[in-house]
Amino acid sequence: MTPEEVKHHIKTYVLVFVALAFLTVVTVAISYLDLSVRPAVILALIVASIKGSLVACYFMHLIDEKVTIYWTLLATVAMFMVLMFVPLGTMLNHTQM
Amino acid sequence: MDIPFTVKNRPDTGLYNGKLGVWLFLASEVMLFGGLFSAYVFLRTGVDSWPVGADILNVPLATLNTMFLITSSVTMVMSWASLKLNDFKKFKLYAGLTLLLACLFLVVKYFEYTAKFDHHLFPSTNNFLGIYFTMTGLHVLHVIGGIFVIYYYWRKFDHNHRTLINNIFCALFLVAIFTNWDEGIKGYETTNGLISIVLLLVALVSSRKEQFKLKTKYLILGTFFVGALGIFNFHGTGYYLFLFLGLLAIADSFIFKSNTTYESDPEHFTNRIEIVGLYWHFVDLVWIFLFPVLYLL
Repeated sequence: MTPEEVKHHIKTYVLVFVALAFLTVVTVAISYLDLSVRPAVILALIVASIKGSLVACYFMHLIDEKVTIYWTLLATVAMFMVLMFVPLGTMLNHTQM
Repeated sequence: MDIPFTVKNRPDTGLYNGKLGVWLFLASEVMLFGGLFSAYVFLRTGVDSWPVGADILNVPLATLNTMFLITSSVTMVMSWASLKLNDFKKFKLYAGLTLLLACLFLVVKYFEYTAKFDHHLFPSTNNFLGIYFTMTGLHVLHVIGGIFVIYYYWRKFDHNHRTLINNIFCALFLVAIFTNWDEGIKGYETTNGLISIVLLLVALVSSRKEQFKLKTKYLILGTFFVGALGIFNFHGTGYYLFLFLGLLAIADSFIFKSNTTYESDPEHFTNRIEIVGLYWHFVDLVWIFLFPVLYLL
């Protein structure tokens, strides 16, 4: 990586920081809107996902990374999704009864 | 024998080994926190009513903490970028700021937790508090772990600077013991305080001379034990912070060896900072999700 490229990266980091700070304010502001549970959860998770993606893509350099890491993370995301759907299984069971 | 592929990329993975290693570790961390998020969903969907986090928890403090962590993530990545630009002074500055912000996060968290305990809100009080303390507690452990690792790479100061910092920590211990005087078992407090003063004075004097370096270490250890005695009769605000700083001082003096990677192999050092950064950003990432899930919904 040349010094020019690093300096370019630094500019990106500052922009990402501004975006993250702004989105934090947005997250808190949304919580004061008194939305019902479902839209509140969806909105909060969307904003958190955007923030999380910014951190992962730019600070953790995932936007420009080797394919080995992408495959590792793909498997991780798949397993994470399984975990998230485990509670859903118990809900289905409840409705049947 | 040198460990291979610490700087050059391995031909088959296209990565240096440390980087793939830390990503695999982070993958396991996703599963660790994922299990708890799953438990949260399970607990929440399994009941008819669930408290709104903001009614129980302190949202302004948590927002402040979010800002601390986000800023620390930026300073962390900047410390790595500084090394890429061969600017070690800036690396020290940014890594130092990261440490400071991480410590501020812990201080805020400390006040949050103690406020809950003062209101008799414990992990055993209800399911919400149970999952709140478990998730944030595990996250706090990650922050503490990160502090130790970043500190390890940051702590490259010369000898005089180092003993000075140790003595500052000792002084903090002294404060902890002094504040112990009013409450506690009579007789021990005065002795603790007096011993601490003597130890601190000797430590301050001896640390000014290079040949007394070893003695200073033992004096610091002595002060630590005296401070540890205070645990039995002191539970005031801030004590555990001092204890933590003291542990850091002890770890610094006895466990950590001076890190010379930067002098011998700057590129290797830069790569290490990159993977420390990956871990630190992950800690930030977890908090980005914990904050809305626990505090705002």
